[in-house]
This record gives sequence, C-alpha cells and structure tokens, in this order.
Amino acid sequence: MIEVNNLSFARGNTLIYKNINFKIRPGELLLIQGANGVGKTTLLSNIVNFIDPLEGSITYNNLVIDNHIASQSFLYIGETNFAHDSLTLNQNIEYWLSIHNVKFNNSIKNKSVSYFFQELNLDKKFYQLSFGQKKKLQLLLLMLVNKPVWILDDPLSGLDDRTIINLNTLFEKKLENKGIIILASHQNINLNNYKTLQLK
Amino acid sequence: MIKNFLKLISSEFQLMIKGSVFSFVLYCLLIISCAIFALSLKDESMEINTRLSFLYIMIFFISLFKVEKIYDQDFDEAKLHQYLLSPFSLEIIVFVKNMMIYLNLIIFFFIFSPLILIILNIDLTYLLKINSLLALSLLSIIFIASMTASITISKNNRLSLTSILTLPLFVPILIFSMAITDLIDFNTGKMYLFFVAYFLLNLAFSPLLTSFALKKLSV
Amino acid sequence: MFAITPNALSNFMISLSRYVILLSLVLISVSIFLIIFLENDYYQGISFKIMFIHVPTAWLSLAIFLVMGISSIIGLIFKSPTAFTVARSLSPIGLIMSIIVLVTGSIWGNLTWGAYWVWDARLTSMLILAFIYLGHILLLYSFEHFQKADFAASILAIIGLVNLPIVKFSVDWWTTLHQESSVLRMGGPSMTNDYLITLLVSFFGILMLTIFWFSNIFYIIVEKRKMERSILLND
Repeated sequence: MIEVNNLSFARGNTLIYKNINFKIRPGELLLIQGANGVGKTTLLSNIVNFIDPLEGSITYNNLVIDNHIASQSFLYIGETNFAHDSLTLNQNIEYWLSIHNVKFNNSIKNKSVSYFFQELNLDKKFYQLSFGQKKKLQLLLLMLVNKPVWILDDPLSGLDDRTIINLNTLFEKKLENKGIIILASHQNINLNNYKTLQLK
Repeated sequence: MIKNFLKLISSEFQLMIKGSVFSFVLYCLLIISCAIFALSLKDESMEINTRLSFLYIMIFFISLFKVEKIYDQDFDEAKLHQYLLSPFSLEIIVFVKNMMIYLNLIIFFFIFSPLILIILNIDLTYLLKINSLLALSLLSIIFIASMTASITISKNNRLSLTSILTLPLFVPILIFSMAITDLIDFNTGKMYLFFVAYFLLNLAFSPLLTSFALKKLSV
Repeated sequence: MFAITPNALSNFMISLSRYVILLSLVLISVSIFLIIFLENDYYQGISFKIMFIHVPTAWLSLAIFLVMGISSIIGLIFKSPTAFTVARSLSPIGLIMSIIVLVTGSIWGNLTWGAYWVWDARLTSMLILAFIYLGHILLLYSFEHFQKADFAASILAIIGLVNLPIVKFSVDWWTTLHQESSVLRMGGPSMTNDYLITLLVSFFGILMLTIFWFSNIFYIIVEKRKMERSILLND
C-alpha cells in the first residue's frame, strides 16, 4: 500500500504543488491527470524517491521509501527514452535486463517482443526505430522485469490502437495479481475501475 | 547477480567499442596539435621535458573531454532513473564506466604512441617508460575527471564546460608528470608508487562522490 | 553544529557581531600603531612591514578552507543546511584573503627577491587554493536551485581539501625559495618578541574582522532564504 501524506514540493523558488494526500491499495490503479506543468512527472519522481519532497511523507507498506525499497519494488518508466542510441535492439534489451538483474531467458524475451512488436528485426539499431517503436521498447520492461509497483509517466502517447489494447490487458493482469499501478496521462484508459487524482 | 554483472560488463564493453570513434577523433586532434607544436619549434632544439609536458597536457585535456562526453551521454536523466532503480549500486556502474573509458583511451594511446613520439622527436627508447607512466597516471585523471564531470553536467547548471573550473584538482598529477620528465633517465620506482597510492585514494573517494553528485544534481 | 538551525546560528552571530567589530577595530588600530613605531629590519628596510598583513591573511585563508571543507563534510553526511550555509558564506572571504596574500606576497617578493612571481612550492599551492575558492564560488552561482549548488560546491570543497596537502607535498618536490615558517614551528618562534606581539595583535584583529564579515554574510543568506520560503508557502 502506498500512502502519501500532506506532500508539497518546490523547484527553485516556485512551488509546484502542496497538500497532496492519497492512498493506493494492492490491486488498484491511480491515474494522475492535470494540465501541462502542474507537476505530474515531479509527483511521480517524488514517489520513487528520485527527489526529496519539501514537506510531507510517502510510505510503502508503512515504511518510508528510501533508495533500497525503491530499487526493490518500483519499476519506473519515464517519458524520455533510456535506450543507448549506438546499440542494437537486442543489445539494448540485454543491457537493461542486466541492469535490472533479471534472469535472462530467450524464449520469454521472444514471447514478449512478439506481444508488442508483430514482426521486428532485433538487429536494427535503436535510432532506426520510429517514435512509437521506441516507446514500445521501453514498455517491454513491464513484461520482463518483475516488480510489484509500476510507475508510468505518460505510457500511452504515440502508441497505435492495437498496442493500447495490449497494454490495457497487461494492466488488468497486473491488477489481478495485486500489483499497484500509478500512471500520469492526458488520455483516459479503458479499465472498469480506477482512481483518479486531479492536480491543479 | 554475478552472471548479470558479467553481462553488464560485456555490454559496457560493446558500448565502449561503439563510442571509440570519438576517441579516434580526439587522438587525431592530439596528433595534429603535436605536429603543429613540433613544426613551430622546428629549428630550435627544445628540451625533451618541454615536448613531454606538451604531450601530457594534451592527453589530460583529451581525457577531460572524453569523460565529459561519456557522462553527458550515458548519465542523462532517463538512464539515471533506471540506474537508480537497479539492484546494482550506482557506485559500481560508475566504476565500470570509468574503467571502460580508461581502457578505451589507453588502448588508443598504445596504438598511437610511436607515431606521436616520432612527431615530437622523442627517442623511441623512452616508449615503454612513457607508456607505463601514462597508463598509471591516466587512471587517476579519469577518476578525478568523473567527479568533476558529475558535478558539472547537470541540466540545472547554467554554465557550460564548468569542469575547467576544477582544473586545480588535477595539479598533483600534472606536477608529478612534469617531474617525471626531469627524472626520465633515473630510477622512477618512487613515481610508480606515488601514482598507485594516488589512484587508490581516488578509488576510495571518486565513485562515492561521483554517484552522490549524479543522484543529487542530475535527477 | 549539525543540530543547530541556520536561523539560531544567524541570530547568535548577528548579536555577537557588534562586539566583534568593536574588538577588531581596537586590535587593528593598536596593531597599526605598533607597526608604525616598530624599528625597520636591518636587511629588508621598511618593506618587511608588509608581513603583518601577509602572514595573518595567509593563516586565515588556510584556516577558512579547512573550516569550509569540514563543514561541507558535515553537511553531506548529516544533510545539515547550517553547515552548507557556513561553507557558502565562507568562500568569498577565503577568496579575498588568498588574493590579498598573493598580492602582498608578490609586492614583498619584488622588493626582496627582485621578482613578482616564482614557481615555488608555497606560491603555487596558494595560487591553487585561490583557484579552488574561485571554482567553489562559480559553482555555487551556476545553479538555479541553491540546494543543488550547495551539494555540488561541497563536493568540490571536499576534493579540494583532500587534494591540497597533496599539492603541497608535490610542489615541495622542487626546491623552495620561500622562507621557512618562523612562528608555528618546532622549538618555539624564531622572531623577537616585539615582532611576534605585533604579528599576533594584527592576526587577531583580522580574525575578528573575518568573523564579523562572516556573520553578516551568513545573516543575509539566511534572511533571504526565509523570505523566499515564506513567499513560496503563502502563495
């Protein structure tokens, strides 16, 4: 369970948000919405403990989130792409899986690749991909890395309809397995049951 | 974990190989500037110290640029987010990265050093000595350069190339390298010892401070 | 030190500063009086009197760097804003002290050695110290966000603290022209008593001036932060 109490944050001399409270139980999805510049991304990186809040506390299972807890249980996918430009797709996947300390298994990898990409040459260089394909490469980590909490920053932008449907099924499965998903997005998602947080 | 660490090292090695085009360009710059330097003192018989000092200063600038470029590329915000959530601590990743930069630069230097020595009119009998001293001092240079790169590449930083401000921190190495050129004909065992000791000091401090600075400044 | 809030320290320093400036004015005027009436040196003539500025500022510029480095370490370990603010307000003072040392030293050197500058151990390490102070200040002001600036600058201060003895040791490799220490050395001072007293009086005068200056800079920084924060939270 993630609990956020009375959170406020300032960057430089400008206050981004203050007095944010919410609670997410296992098996729930929180959609953070709001106009540009209200601090959706900042709130997410506050939760993952990339930056320290000005005031307030964030806890996961009643423990204050520190680097150790964050690295054990959170998977963060940001807006910008993290892949190395000069490596091929296959090398990129291997690199980030070894960074996340995932036991490498070719059959699982091929299955998840074919789930997102219908047919794709894995020996392509990363820069040869289109924007949506790059985005999909990021989302591949959702299937390959096993962490209880997903924190996603605008995962739906630039994806085609088919991939959005696939992503929704992934979300449903995750919630069935008592995972927690926090996502910031401008779009609505096709799920029956989710919480929203409107930032002002 | 160990298997993945080995895999990480091999991936970093591939990445290093891909990035060696930049090092090649930097070494071409080195060779051109050495040629211009040698040309400018064509007739005068400059002492070997001066030539070697020039070489050292150029190598030092090259490694500064290389480290800054690699840190700028490989520790941008998105990658750093993933590194921070990885079970490997950032210190280890920084260490691996530094060693890869070192390997890249030193291999290129080994390849180019005969050519550079010929251009600078330095006797080739010094080749082994110069190479081994540079191999030792470059370790410390890269570890210090990683610290200065990490405090200055941050996106919040208003100035560019601020790592020039931290030049005084490299002074011990430069002074010792100059001193070597004085002592090149004598026994240099003491020098090797100093470089090893200085490297160990940097090894203790540098990855800690570098990763701390990356965490606090670049995210 | 790390339990004290910046606010408490700034109030304490500012209440103290009134007495400190008084004491410093008294000490400095006494030392000027003493310097004027001191006999000229047999060898150096009147030029040696520059020593009474040169030596105290040299001691202070080293001491300030030591305090800055230690408070940076404390700040990084205990995440104490007080320690960071101490380091931040000390570095401009240190820079000016080291510039005074270099300028007075080179004037003195020109009068006695016949050269403004030689690449000697003491001179080089003092120059590097001045550069590190300069880097510290520039790094502090190259960030928008003061906390990030504090972190970056304190890392620089720590590296500088580790490196400075090494710089000193490495430049000692060369033979040195600068005279040996004559006050802080084994077996007691080697100067006569009237010189020593004058030196100590002027040292304490400049020290008090430094403390006064430091407490004012510290106060200004803390007040500015307080104002910004109150504007932030009541927006």
